[in-house]
Amino acid sequence: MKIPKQAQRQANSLFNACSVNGVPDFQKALQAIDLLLEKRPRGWRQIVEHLKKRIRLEADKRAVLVQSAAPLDEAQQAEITRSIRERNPDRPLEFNFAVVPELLGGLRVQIGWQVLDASIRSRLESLLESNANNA
Amino acid sequence: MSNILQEIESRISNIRQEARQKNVGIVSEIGDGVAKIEGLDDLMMNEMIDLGHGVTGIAMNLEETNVGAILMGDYTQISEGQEVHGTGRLLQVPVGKNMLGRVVNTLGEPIDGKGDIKTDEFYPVEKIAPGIITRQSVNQPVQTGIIPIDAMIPIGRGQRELIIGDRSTGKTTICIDTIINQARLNKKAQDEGDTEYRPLYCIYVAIGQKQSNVANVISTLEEAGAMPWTIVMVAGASDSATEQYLAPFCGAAMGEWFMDHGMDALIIYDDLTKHANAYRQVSLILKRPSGREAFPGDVFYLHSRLLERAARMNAEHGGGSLTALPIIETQMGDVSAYIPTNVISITDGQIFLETDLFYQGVRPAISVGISVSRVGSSAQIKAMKQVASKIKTELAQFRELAAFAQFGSDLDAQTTARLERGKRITELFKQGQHVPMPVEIQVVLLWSVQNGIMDDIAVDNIRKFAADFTEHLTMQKTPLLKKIGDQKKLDDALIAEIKTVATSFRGTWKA
Repeated sequence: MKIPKQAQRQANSLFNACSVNGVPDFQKALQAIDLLLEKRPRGWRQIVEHLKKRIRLEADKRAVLVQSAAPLDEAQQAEITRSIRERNPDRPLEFNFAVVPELLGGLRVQIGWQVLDASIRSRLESLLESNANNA
Repeated sequence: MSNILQEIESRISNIRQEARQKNVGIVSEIGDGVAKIEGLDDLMMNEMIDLGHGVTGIAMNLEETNVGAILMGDYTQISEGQEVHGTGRLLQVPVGKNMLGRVVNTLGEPIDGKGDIKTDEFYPVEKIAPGIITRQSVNQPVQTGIIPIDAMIPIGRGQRELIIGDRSTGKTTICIDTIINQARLNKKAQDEGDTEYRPLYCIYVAIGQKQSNVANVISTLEEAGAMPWTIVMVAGASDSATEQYLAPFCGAAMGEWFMDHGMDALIIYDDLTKHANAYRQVSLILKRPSGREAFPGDVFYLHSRLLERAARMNAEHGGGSLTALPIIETQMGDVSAYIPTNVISITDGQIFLETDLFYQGVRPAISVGISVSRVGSSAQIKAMKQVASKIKTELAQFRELAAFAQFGSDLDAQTTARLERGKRITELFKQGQHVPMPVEIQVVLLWSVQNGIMDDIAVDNIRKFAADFTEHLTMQKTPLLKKIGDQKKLDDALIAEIKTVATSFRGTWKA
């Protein structure tokens, strides 16, 4: 759906209005969407679409994906969760754990759009790149 | 065997053990050389993005919900939903003397089939121009070897001189002749062991040109022996708009290396009209707001930041220089169009080429009345200043009187003399392609025409006289030319010698 600039601006204003202490509140965002669906102002479909996109992107920023080559037990998961929350105290985070055997070993942690890759696969790739540069 | 094992151990131990940190994003849209990417938080403007499959993007639009990037490479390999990551680096190109003699693409990769270029130094493509305090005024000449330019529209090292005209009026030829003349001067200084002469290295940036035209240019430069002092950068018509947009900046980076290392360089942008068109294309695809003639609002800044990188540095900063000869193609001689007026206001002068003059046989078709060099005689050797100072006035008077004389009325002797002198100067200014003339010979010819040596030669024979006189000077009067070249000014003794030589040659010459 093509979303005109005005609808984007209105959706952005609504999204910013749903923030509490600078952090977007999803409950308030849902209330905003309910209000839009009820009142149906001009261009409401495009506004809802763009607001949905902003919420999705914000949710992506809060998502933490921890990938490991072998399953992690509860204690390990709790330790990783605690460690990441300590480094991001003001950010609401949602954790997901996945097993990716292709990593060979180690961990790959993606927090929003930042990736910390300490897997063995990554180190091997780094070794290959370093060899290619030296050659 | 044990050596190989030790080598492997050493390489393994040298790799860093820390986790790799990456800034990632997902491609949400791709097409027409532009990708929209979600994610990539904290990305910087103009940062390089690695899309995999050998494709690199450059961040051009940093928006609230996505990043717009222009792509270099075969982007048909990239699909929507693919993960990409920022590199943390700005676009750089290889620079250095190893680039001389090579034909490269926008990224500095060789395309002439002569193997890789070994270089350790890289310069950023986008760089802030030198500040005011680091600069010095322009007072060293760039001898183009083209008489009307060296006499009346002199170009100095560190100047920006625009070459503007319709298609097929000789814009590129002027630039190629300039490169050939620099090669001649560089080679002469090298052969003579002249350590005081500062060689001028040339960079020719072809933007949106036909491959056949570029091939002709390269062939001409090779035949003239100019390639050892020249870098040719090609972003042809079949290359992407991204490459055409970036090519002048990459060429400027290569030129800046010479400038920063205390050397002199000349860069030719052929042409900036196609450059502006390529920038318009990428801007429209990036959905940037369009303005006049559908160009984006910052099209002036596009050229001003490029041309401001040409400068002459003061001695404290190496004393190097970068001279720019941008080319603009007009439509039907309209110099009041958007892009031409932009670039005219940026440069330090312009050389107008007119189609009418071209078809009248005046080649180079330079309209000397409206061409100007804002640096002026500061960029001329004293000898040229002495002979050329009156020529512009004489030509201006000639043009005024020529219009008047068309009515066929009777003219007094003085007017007739001015008309005849003007015709002879105009004829003398005609020059063949790719045969630039040394400044010493120019000085002698201009002195001769100014002092009546050619007054009794028919206008149609002026060029033959000039060609024969040039041959005579080159073959038999080399010491005179050397004196002019060494002294760089005409004292009474030298003037007397020129008079003797010219008079004697005129006396024996027959058409």
